Amino acid sequence: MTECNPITTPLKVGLQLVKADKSDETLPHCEAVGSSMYLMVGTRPELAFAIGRLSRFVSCYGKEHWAAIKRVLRYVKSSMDKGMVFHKNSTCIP
Amino acid sequence: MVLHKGHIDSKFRDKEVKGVFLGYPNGSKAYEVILDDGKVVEAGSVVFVESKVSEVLEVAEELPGQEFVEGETGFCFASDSEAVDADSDDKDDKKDNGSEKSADGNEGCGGSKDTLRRIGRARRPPVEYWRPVSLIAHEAPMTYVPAVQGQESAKWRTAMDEQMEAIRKNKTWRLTDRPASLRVLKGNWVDKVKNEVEKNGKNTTRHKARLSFSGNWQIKGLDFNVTFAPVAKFTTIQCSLAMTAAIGWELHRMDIKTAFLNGDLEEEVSIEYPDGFVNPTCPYKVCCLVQALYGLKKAPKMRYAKLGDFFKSQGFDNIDRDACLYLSMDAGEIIIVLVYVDDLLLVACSLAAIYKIKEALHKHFEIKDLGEAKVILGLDMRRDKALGTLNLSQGKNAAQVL
Repeated sequence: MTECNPITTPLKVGLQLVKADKSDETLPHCEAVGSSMYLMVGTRPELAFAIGRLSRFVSCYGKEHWAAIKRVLRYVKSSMDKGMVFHKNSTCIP
Repeated sequence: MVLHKGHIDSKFRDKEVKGVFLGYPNGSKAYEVILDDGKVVEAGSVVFVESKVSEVLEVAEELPGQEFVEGETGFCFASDSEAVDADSDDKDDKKDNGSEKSADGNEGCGGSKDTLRRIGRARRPPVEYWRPVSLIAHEAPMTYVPAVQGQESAKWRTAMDEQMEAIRKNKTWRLTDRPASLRVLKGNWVDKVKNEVEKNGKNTTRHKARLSFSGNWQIKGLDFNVTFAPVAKFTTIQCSLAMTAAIGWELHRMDIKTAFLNGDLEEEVSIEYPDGFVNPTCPYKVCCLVQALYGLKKAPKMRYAKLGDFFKSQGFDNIDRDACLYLSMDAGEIIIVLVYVDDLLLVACSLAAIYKIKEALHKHFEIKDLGEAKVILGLDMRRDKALGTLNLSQGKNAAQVL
C-alpha cells in the first residue's frame, strides 16, 4: 500500500455496505481494520466513523469491504503528518 | 466428542477442532482437551457434543500411557448416564486384561449413577511445541549454538557478556545445590538485531542478547500464583499530555533498562546455567533466582510491585482510576509519573521537580534518561513552547500500517 494514490476522504460518500454471505478469508480485512484502529485511538479520531462502519463486517466481509478499508488506508497515506494538537489555552481542561 | 473452538492458526479466524475432553487442569478454569493429532491443549471455549459420549470413552481408552485418576480431576457427562454406564461396562469386559487402573476408574464411576463421571490423566508439558520467539526475526539466530558459531559470533558474544554483567550487577541469582523437590527450569538466549539511529543520523545495528527462561514450564499454583501487571491507560496518557500542553508543564521520558530484571521474587525458582556461561568451578550447581528474569511468569508483576513500592516510598500516591499513574503533590509542586511497562513519562510543573525524581530513580534502578519526551507508544510528540502547543502524530505507525 505504500505505492497507493492518496485520497482526501476515508469513505465514499453514501457508501452502503451489506453483509457478505461468506467471508473471503484470503483478504486481511480484520487485520487492516485492527491496525487502523490503533491510529484512531491514538491520534486520528476522524477515522472513527469509517472504522466504526467497517468493523461491523469483520466476520462477514467480501471484496467491497476490503476495497473500503483500502480506501481508508489511502486516506491515511494522504494525511500521514496529521495528528492531534493540544493548545495552551484550550478550554476543555478545567 | 468435543468441539474445541479457538484461534489456532491466524488471528481473527474462527477454527473448530475436534477433540476429546480430558479433564480440568490444576488451578485453571479452562478445559483440557486432546486434539485428533495428539496435541493436548487447554481451551476456554468448548462445545460438548453429549450425544456421542460412547465415542469419547473409546478414544480415551485407546490412548497409550495414560493414568486414570479416580475422583480428583473431572470428566463430566451427566446426561444419559444409563447408556453411558452400559457402554463403559462393555469396555471393561474387553479391557480386563488391560490396565487395571482404567478398569478401577470406570467401576468407581459406574457404581454411582446420576453423579458426575470423572476420569483424568497425568499432565505433561508440551515441550516440542515451544520455541523462543524473537520480535524481529531478521538475521538473528534463534538460539545459542548458531549464534556463537555464525559469522557474527564476536558481536553476539559481547552482547551476551553485557547481559550477564547486568544480571551479575543486579544480583539476580545465587548459586545453590540442586534442590530435590523443585523442578529446575532451562534458560535460553533470545537474540535479536536492533536497528538504531545514531546521533549523527547514521543507521547502525545493535546486537542484543537477552537471557530468557522458559516460563511456560512453570505450573500455576506450584511455581506462581498471580501474574497480572497493569499498564497505564491510553486515555490517561492523552489526558496528561493535554494537561501538560495546557498548563505548560515539563514532560520528560525515561526508560528502565532491563525492566523485567527489576523485581524481587516471592517464590523460589531455580534455573540451569545459561548456555556458554557454566561456572567451571562448580558446574553441578543451579542458580536460585532472587530477582525476576525475562520469561518467568511472575516477572511483570514483580516489576510492577517494585516500582509501586519505590514510588510510595518517595511520597507518591496511586490514584484509583489508573493503577499506573503516580501522583505527588508537595507544597504546590505536582509530579505525575506514568508507567507503561518500561517507559516512564514524567510530568511536572518545574524542571527542578523532574530532576529531583530522576535522581531518586537513578539511585534505585538502572535507568536511561531520554530527556524531553519525543515518542511514547508510537506517538510522535513535537512541542512548541513559544506557541504552547503539543503536536501528536503517528506518521511512523501509519507508514507501518501501509
